[in-house]
Amino acid sequence: MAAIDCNIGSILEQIEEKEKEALKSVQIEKELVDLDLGLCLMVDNNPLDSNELRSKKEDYLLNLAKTNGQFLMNNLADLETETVEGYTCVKLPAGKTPIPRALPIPKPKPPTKWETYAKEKGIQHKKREKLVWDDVAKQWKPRYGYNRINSTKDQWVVEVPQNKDENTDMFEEIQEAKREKVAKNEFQRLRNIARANKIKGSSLTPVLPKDGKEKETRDEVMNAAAVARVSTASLGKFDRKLPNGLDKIEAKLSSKAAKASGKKRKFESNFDNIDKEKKRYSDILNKIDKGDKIDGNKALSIITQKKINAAVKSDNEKTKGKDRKSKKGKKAGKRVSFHNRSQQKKKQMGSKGGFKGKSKGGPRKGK
Amino acid sequence: MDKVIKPKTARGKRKLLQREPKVIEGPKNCVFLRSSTINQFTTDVMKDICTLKKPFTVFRNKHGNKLILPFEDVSPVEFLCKKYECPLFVVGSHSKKRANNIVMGRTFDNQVLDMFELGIENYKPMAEFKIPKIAIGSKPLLIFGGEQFDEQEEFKRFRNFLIDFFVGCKLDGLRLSGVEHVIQVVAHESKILFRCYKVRLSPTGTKYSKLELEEMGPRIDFSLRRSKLASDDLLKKSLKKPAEVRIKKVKNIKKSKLGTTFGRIHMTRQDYSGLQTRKMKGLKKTAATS
Repeated sequence: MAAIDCNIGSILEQIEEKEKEALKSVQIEKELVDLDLGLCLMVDNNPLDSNELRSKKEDYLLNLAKTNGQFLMNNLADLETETVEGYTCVKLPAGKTPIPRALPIPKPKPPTKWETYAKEKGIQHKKREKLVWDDVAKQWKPRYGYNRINSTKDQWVVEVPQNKDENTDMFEEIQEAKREKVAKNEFQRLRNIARANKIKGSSLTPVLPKDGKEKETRDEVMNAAAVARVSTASLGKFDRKLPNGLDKIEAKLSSKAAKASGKKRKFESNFDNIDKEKKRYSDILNKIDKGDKIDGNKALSIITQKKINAAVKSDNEKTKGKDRKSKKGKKAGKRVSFHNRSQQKKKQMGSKGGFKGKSKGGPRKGK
Repeated sequence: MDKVIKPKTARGKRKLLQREPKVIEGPKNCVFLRSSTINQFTTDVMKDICTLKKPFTVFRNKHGNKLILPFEDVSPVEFLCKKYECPLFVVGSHSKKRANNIVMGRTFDNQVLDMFELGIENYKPMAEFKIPKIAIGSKPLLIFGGEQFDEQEEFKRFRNFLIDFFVGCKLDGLRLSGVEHVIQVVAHESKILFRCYKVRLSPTGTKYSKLELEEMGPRIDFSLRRSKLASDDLLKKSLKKPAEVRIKKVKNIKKSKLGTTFGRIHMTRQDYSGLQTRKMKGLKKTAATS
């Protein structure tokens, strides 16, 4: 027994020694090293041997790669393992190195007007079956889309209601109604987009350079000029004005620039005439004496009216700016800016006499 | 004003949907562009880099007569990056003033973030190293060396760019015996030494295996010419992580080394008034006290 024991002991020792030797050839100790095992990355911060790098460049680099690669592999091997499809893999942690994204983080889709309303009222979407039983055709038919139930295509005779002229083409009327519906839907879609993209704050839209294929519109040039005007240290106070012939443009430009520059506080002179001051104070006292109170409702209505006016104005400006473009007869291609599109839609509607403002047109006035 | 593109077909719609930003992004593709002034030498370099980056590449072979100079006019590059859905680009050109020139860069939101102009000083193509090639899309080990990478901002950013360029797919697990190559980049005396080695692993009987390397090419020495670094603002924007990915710190839960989970619970103060202590005759409630 003793002999066997001895044998086992010696064998174990041998194995241990072998392992130790093997480890010696593999194990590397390094400091000043940054590891990012998630990306299989190693950054060696140790100084390089310049002399050797100059004299035996390739050998030095190969050796460097060998030691560093071995160090990285050892660290990877130390990680937790798992078996995937019969292969042993190491579990990689998440990468530490900051790597920029290719595209910005997706933004949540802005809710449509209906969605906000439904949320407010707690209206939930009810799922309806796609197929419905058609009692006339005695078969299941889709609720909408191709070959749908109650399709206008199935109607071969339509009754003319009593209040209408008997010569009216009811098929045309139905078609018209449908066209109107589609137009309204499109209009609402565009309005939702417009609402989602509404730029708050400054009345001037930001000036972006164009790629040269598209020409700037008159409005855009004007905006750019206005922004440029107030972009000096003195907010354009000492800038040269336009020459005399261009009074109208100058007036428009300066008003735009004034809006962009924001308000400046104005103080009255300390050495003004005393009568003015006296009058101002006495007015205030009189007002207090009278017991004039601020009517909250009235104040609120004034403020809201002002806001509405501003919105209408900005909207009108936008439509005006785009009008000129559509007059040129630019065809609606694959890519159409939505303002443009809305204009075209409206024109179409105008010519056909459809969509007579069943929905609230809002601040958008066609004219 | 952003254009609203309305797809005409269902296929187009799917394509547009595919192009929209995602919470978790896939590997970055790279487009290789040839300026009209490119020479064969620079083309070869580009092709070798392309081989290392495969399969996330688009090599634009036709170069026509389009002069692409990203440092003069960035718009054609941005356009093509968007067209091919590649946030990375490599542009090759050659001129008397800037011989054997390649510009490597990356975009964020279809606008150039960083770009680096590199001159090729010394080059030995992959084909000259007579060893079997690596499999397409295998994960490299990336090794960087040289103090210059930490000293200069340009080099630092270039290192980050190279990591971004070669890192490939994000992996959860890695089969160590499947590691095929090492990419080593060393900065020395304002030169960037780019070396690739093929890996041969021999088992040692332990969990560590011995790593043997053999150069497989390409062997390139770059010199950094011009560079355009992203502003801190833009870089910060591009580095922002979506809320879904950010790991939330779990409070009051710990794990021991054996894997047992411990939780810490915070409670309100205990109510001692109803506590039942030891009953004794003397402490018995009498009718008078109650």
